[in-house]
Amino acid sequence: MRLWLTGLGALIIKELRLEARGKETVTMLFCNAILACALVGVGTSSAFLDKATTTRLYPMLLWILFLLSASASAVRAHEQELEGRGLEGLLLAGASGAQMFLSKLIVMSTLFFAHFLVLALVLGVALDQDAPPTFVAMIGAGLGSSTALASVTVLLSAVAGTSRLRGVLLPLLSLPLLFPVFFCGVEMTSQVVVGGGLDPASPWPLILVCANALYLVLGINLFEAAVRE
Amino acid sequence: MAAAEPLVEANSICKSFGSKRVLRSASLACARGEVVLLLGANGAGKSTLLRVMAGLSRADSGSVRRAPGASLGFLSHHLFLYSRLTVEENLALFASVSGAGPEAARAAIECWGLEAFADRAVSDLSRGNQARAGLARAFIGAPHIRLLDEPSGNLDDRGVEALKVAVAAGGDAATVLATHDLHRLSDLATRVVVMRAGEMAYDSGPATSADGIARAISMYRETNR
Repeated sequence: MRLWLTGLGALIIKELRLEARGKETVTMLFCNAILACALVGVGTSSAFLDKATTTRLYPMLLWILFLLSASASAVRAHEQELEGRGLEGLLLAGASGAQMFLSKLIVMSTLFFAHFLVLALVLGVALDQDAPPTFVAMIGAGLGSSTALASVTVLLSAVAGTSRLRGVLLPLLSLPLLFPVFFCGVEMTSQVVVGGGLDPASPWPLILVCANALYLVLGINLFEAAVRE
Repeated sequence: MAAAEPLVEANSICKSFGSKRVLRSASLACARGEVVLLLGANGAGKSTLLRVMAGLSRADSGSVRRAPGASLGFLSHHLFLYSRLTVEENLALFASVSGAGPEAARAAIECWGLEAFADRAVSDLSRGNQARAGLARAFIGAPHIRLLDEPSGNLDDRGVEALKVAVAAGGDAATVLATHDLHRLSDLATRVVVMRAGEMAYDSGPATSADGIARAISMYRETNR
């Protein structure tokens, strides 16, 4: 177990180093976020929407922008694996699919969560929104959906990785799987922003947990096969 | 495990890419302590056979068996290194994952003469030093099975000497060297196998004598005509 965790730690450090050297995923994520928020801000301002309407639109816009920009940026994270065929080398060295998947999941989830927080803040400013009374449910939704999104994109990056059309394939393959995450995110954010807090009887947090569990199990079990194929 | 039992064994491997049949019932076994020189013209199927034996490519039919618990070092045309990481970071990563520990990475850097380049990104190295880094990765943790495809391709004579030392230091390891570089590597061989058009054309058998090597070389030159 100690050996396994040491290997996992080394793989996480590798992921962080690769991102720190290239900064490609981070740059794409945050440029996309700021650009999209600016466009949405200008668009809603031009449409002369009142504040109550933009408040109702805010959750939907936030989650559309988050899922689209994150899944489009995720393909960059896999590019460096293709340059030197590092993943195959790691398999040969004895790394397990679960170790490789989890290391990528941890780093990508962190990046996506930071992206979500920036996006929520910048979109809030662009739409002239007041701070919600509580952030806890929104942060929970952001964290839960970041891990689900990372699970799906990491697994599908390995599936679509060797295709020349991977830039198109990855968002197309991942978005249908992310519908539950989208609905959970929109509903939970709406409850917080419009309703003032999360409804204790709401089923959405449980659905988000179930989606996470499903994608995590799929990723851990299928990642190695996807790399080998 | 009996002395003659192979550490790695490929049986009747067939492999096609589209309509092109690359391997036609190719079989190769390598036992503990053996150094097999795998010869053949370009396109004979050497690289594909090694990829199948390494488990990186799936055979259409046939089987590959590795001794339980035997670790594998593999070198191919791809380095299997991260080009943006330094040599030291790459080797430390592979050492950690294989369970060899950080001292194995330092030992590999010394063994392959990479001390002066340890803190440079792999993409910034010359082809020769990239080849050394790739070999250092393949040999890290002293694997029981070494499958090396064109290991001397970009190496200078000092690099080839380091390769010979590393192969010899393996002792009990099973080594397969696919190469065209007979004049520099033939003295390592304990057995020579020649491939032609995806099949085994000649196998000298274990403990090859000077005569056996000479016959294999002449067979290899025939296939190259």
